[in-house]
Amino acid sequence: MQIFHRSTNTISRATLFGAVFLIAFVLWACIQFQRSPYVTYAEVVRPQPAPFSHQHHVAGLGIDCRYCHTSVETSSFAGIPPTKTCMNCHSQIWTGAPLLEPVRESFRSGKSLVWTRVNDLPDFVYFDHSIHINKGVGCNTCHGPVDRMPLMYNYASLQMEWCLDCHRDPAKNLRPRDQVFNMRYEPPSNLKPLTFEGKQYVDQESLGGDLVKKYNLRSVADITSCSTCHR
Amino acid sequence: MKENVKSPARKDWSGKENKLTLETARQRMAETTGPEFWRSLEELAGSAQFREMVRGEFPEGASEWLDSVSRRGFLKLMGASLAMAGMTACTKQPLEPIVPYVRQPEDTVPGRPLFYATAFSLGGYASPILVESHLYRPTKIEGNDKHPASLGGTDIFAQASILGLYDPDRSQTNLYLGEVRTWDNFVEALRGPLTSQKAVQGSGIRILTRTVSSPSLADQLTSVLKLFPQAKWHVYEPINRDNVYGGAQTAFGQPVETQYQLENADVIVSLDADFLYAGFPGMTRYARDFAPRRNPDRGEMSRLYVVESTPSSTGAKADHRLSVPASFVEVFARALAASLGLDVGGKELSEQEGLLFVKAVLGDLQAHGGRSLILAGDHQPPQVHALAHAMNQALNNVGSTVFYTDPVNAHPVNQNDSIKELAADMRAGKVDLLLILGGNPAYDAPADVGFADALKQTSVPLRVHLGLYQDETAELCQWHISETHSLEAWGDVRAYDGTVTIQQPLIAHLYNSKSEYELLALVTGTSGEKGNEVVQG
Repeated sequence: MQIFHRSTNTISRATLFGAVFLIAFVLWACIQFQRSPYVTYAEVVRPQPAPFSHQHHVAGLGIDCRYCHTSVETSSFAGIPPTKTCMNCHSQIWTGAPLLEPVRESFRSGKSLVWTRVNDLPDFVYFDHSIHINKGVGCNTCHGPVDRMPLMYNYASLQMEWCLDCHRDPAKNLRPRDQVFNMRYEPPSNLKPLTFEGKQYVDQESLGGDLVKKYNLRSVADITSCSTCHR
Repeated sequence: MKENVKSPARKDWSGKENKLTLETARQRMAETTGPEFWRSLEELAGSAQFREMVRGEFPEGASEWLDSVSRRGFLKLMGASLAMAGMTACTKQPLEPIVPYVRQPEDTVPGRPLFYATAFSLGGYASPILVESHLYRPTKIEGNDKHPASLGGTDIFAQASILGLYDPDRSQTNLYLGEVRTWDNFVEALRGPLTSQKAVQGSGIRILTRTVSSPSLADQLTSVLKLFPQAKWHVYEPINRDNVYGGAQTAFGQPVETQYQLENADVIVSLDADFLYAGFPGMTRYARDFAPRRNPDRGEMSRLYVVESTPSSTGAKADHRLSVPASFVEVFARALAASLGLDVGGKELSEQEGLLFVKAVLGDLQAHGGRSLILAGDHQPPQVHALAHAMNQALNNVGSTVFYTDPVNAHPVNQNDSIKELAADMRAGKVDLLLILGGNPAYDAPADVGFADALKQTSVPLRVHLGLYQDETAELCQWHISETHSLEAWGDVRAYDGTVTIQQPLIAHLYNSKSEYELLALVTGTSGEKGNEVVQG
């Protein structure tokens, strides 16, 4: 006496088989969701008190990164400029512009401008700017084409896998130190070779390899160890 | 009767007679050895209460796992939870603000600390320190190696003082009879009594401070005493140097400050003086001077004899140590002085009391005349200090290992007498305005002085307490003004060698507090003067 119809065989097999794929799919979806801009805020413009345009100030006016982000070469924290830095120019230029009213208000009242942090790592990570600059990692390697951003956004997800991607092979991202602040830097290629210390390079691999030695980078095992960042 | 967790060697005296006489105890102890001895007299007696207590201590089944979840299952769950702890990063991070300055101060590099030189004071003596400050918040105390009083060392009190700054229990408001008031209210309240005191030359004014070595504060108090000639300045601190100055008085007729140069000493005899530990004025410098002489590669090592009552750091460094009751140190000192030829009425010690020790010390001292040193501990009676001074003189040490200067203390009176006098005045009704600048005398004055009672019962019309905490004294005074911490105020203080060290603030006042200088400025008539102005003047 059969209680179940013959088709139950197929259905049960298909369900079991399919369940495995279903779970795998769900996991994959979660992982992809984790990497999405919704979660990482990559390439998403965040609300700011004043619409500061890096494109205008850097590409348009040619201001160097270090004019405002003063401690990037000497400290772990690059910092953002105090209101006075803005007012250095804007007390004389665009003095009445409504866009700049929050800045003038801040300078007048003595209350700081509350910007929204764009490049933000979780608190359990220790990140030191000065070491990256001093070892030849360019600004736009991590921060993207800042000089072409009318409003600031995060170029990278800043997730650990993204950091590790470089830390496991720093040679592919290094550049000569004098080129670190050059927003239009291109890695050496056959069409545009780069001369560094008398030697000509046509590909990033060889340049990077030499730079790793020249700038005394620590071994990959060292810079991918847990306590380097999770102090 | 089943007893679960008893060590097999424990003998069970229960069931025997309950009353434990000396005879029974002796008998029982004779029958047992080592691990079977009693752990409490109740156990030795075998009383019924003891049996009950033992039974309740380890009830049946206490060491069995009776839960439905097995050990294995429990550990599995815990392990899984621990592994999932890493998922905290898998959340969407909220948007965080980043707030720069409006005008960034010069020299500020965010992420790098700045160091500011100031001083920490304990008992009136300064410990020069460099304070590490991150974005203008002091975080860590280091020594100031350019200062002669410490050459870069700090002691535990200096290190701990940073915690006092951020103590959440600190007094944050001014109080009048328990109600919050402002500083201006206080200034108003003080105006009337001060004016009326002017008429009687200040005969009702009493100011009680802790040990003052600050030149600025001493100046202010001198001006107060000039303005109000009949007012009195009392000094009291619970751990004070009355005995030290008393001994100096006995020996020299005036209170002097004794300073040591340990690098010149070949033989050091410490009479209960813990000079290598925090709390001894000059300890950081003495430790630095003492250490190189202990290096045999650098020439002949110095020798340290210590006579002390409790184990101390100095005793731990001693080459030879004699442990005696604290009261015996005087007897020892007299014996040593007598054997040096001084007429101090010392009797020779017996073998048991340390005769050989005295002989050895004597031999060493005589062999190194002029390069030896005898120190007396701060808390030893004045006679011991006087004896130490006499012995140093007899051994020609003055000028090479020990020398005397004016007291660092700006008002070297006997502090125990000072507070007794104040309490007596209060009870006699002679006091109209009492200013207590810091400290907690209601709590730490000697019990027989009855200072707390004097505050409670007498009708001193206006009692003001300036303090870091709303403590016992603040409760008994009408006005309590919150005091600034030494890390957030201007001031100056002398180190053990007399060097004046300026204190500078590391951070703006955390609360609406005032320093001693600012409070006294009200009395000297320069009301509104800020701390830094007082110090500059």
